[in-house]
Amino acid sequence: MFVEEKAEIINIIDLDKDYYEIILSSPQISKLAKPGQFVNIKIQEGDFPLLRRPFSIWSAKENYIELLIKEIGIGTKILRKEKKGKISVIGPLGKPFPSPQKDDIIVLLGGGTGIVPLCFYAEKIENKKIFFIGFKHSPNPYILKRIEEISDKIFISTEDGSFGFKGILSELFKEEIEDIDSEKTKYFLCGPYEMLKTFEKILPIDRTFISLEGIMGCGFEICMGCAVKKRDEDRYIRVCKEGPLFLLKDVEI
Amino acid sequence: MKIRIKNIEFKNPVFTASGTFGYGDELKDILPLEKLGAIVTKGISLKERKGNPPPRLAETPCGLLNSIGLENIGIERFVKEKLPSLKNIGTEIIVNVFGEKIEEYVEISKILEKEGIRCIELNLSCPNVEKGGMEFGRDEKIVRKIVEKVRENFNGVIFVKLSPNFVDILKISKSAEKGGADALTLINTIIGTSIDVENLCFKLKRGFGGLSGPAIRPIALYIVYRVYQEVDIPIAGVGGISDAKSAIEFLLAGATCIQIGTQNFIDPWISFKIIDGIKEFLKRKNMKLEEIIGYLNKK
Repeated sequence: MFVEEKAEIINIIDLDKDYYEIILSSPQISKLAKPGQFVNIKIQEGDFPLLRRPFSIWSAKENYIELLIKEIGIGTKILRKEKKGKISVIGPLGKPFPSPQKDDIIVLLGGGTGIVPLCFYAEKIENKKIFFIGFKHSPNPYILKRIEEISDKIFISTEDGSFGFKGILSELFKEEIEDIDSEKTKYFLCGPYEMLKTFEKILPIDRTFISLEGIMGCGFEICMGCAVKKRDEDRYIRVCKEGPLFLLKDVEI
Repeated sequence: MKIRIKNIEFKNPVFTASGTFGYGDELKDILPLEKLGAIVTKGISLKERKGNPPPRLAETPCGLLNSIGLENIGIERFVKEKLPSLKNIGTEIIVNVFGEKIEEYVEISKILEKEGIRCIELNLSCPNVEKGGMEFGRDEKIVRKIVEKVRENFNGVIFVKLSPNFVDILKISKSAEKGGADALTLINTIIGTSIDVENLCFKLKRGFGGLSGPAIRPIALYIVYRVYQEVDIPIAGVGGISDAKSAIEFLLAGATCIQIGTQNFIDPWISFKIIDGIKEFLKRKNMKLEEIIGYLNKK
């Protein structure tokens, strides 16, 4: 079940060159939203950009939803400069993340904006939560503080070495895996394609959940655009319908 | 707001376009689907098709390239799993039919006739498959033959969906009419491509796809206008309709009904807004629907 809401832009906060946060007053969607779900935003009125842009929900409480966005193209560029006012938001879309077992240890592995759905999940669950986050350069202190508040332990890598471990996240993770991994450990992975491919080789595919992006026409099952191939099966399923979260053993990345 | 094509009366002239509204019932809990003039289903083939590998979509200025590749569950499962729910919606269901061989169109049409389906749309224009679709739609003789063969086996309303890719659409339209089509659906997507310069590759995995959205509206509108002068059967206008105003453009150009495509992805409520918008326009102009159909056109 999803709705369209004309959400009021409460604030757009520039975090650094790439990242910004948007806070929207969205009373209906904020109540319906569960971790792992996303919203689809019409950037501006008219035919350009044509399609809505899907964003994972960073947090939803009271009447507000928060989105952490990286400027990567024309849509996210225009959105960043949006004046205060109302924008059309459709959501919540996609399946929520599953509720963990009581004694599960939850390891969250996020690269860049891949941290977004993981943060919302961590905020809502009571389990032991270990965060591994990777960025190109030193992340904004505000983002770090948010993650620290919702995690029991946090490991950070930056590709340029300006903060934490120097290198890619999987290298940092390899150093820690022995201490962390057990049958009770569940992994939640979200990030850029290269990162997912690297982790696919390291993580147990039957205990790893992967939150995927897809180029979407609609986000609500009618366009069949966001196809992802089933592992070991010659057919496609959809990021917006069956996902965005998949057990790694079920999909090909 | 009612329209009639052959012996079928439609509640209003606003339909959803094939491939842009799933199988037709996905949004039944959210939308008052019974208010639509008709729902055109996804293209259904004889056998299940898995579709093309991703990326299947690429956005272009005011347009969308798609290369879905007619992913569908095939006629057998469609009849079993989708048709019962579609029949309960309370509006006309037009099943879009796709075949790789002429006989497949006939076979599917026979099954649908048996299942009580009153309207079909023959897809002779999909650019995203290796066999059938657009390949058939490029050849006047084959178009006529397919329509004739289906006509022999299907008594209901036959729409034929055509495309302007590499053809003289006037000739093809006339062939479809001669073959026994009851209506034409104009137009399917226009073949195109888009390139990811940074990564030196095509944006779509298959390299090319069909362009839809407001970017193609002027082309579709002109084709409707032009074909209207050449044929005596009704036209369903489709191509970049995004609001009531653009829907009315198609009616004025000669379309008896219109189909909403890509805009469903952006605003799934759009068809209902367009129905209301056309009603409001007619009231304001003190005109009837039949008066605006082809208003700007002379036969």
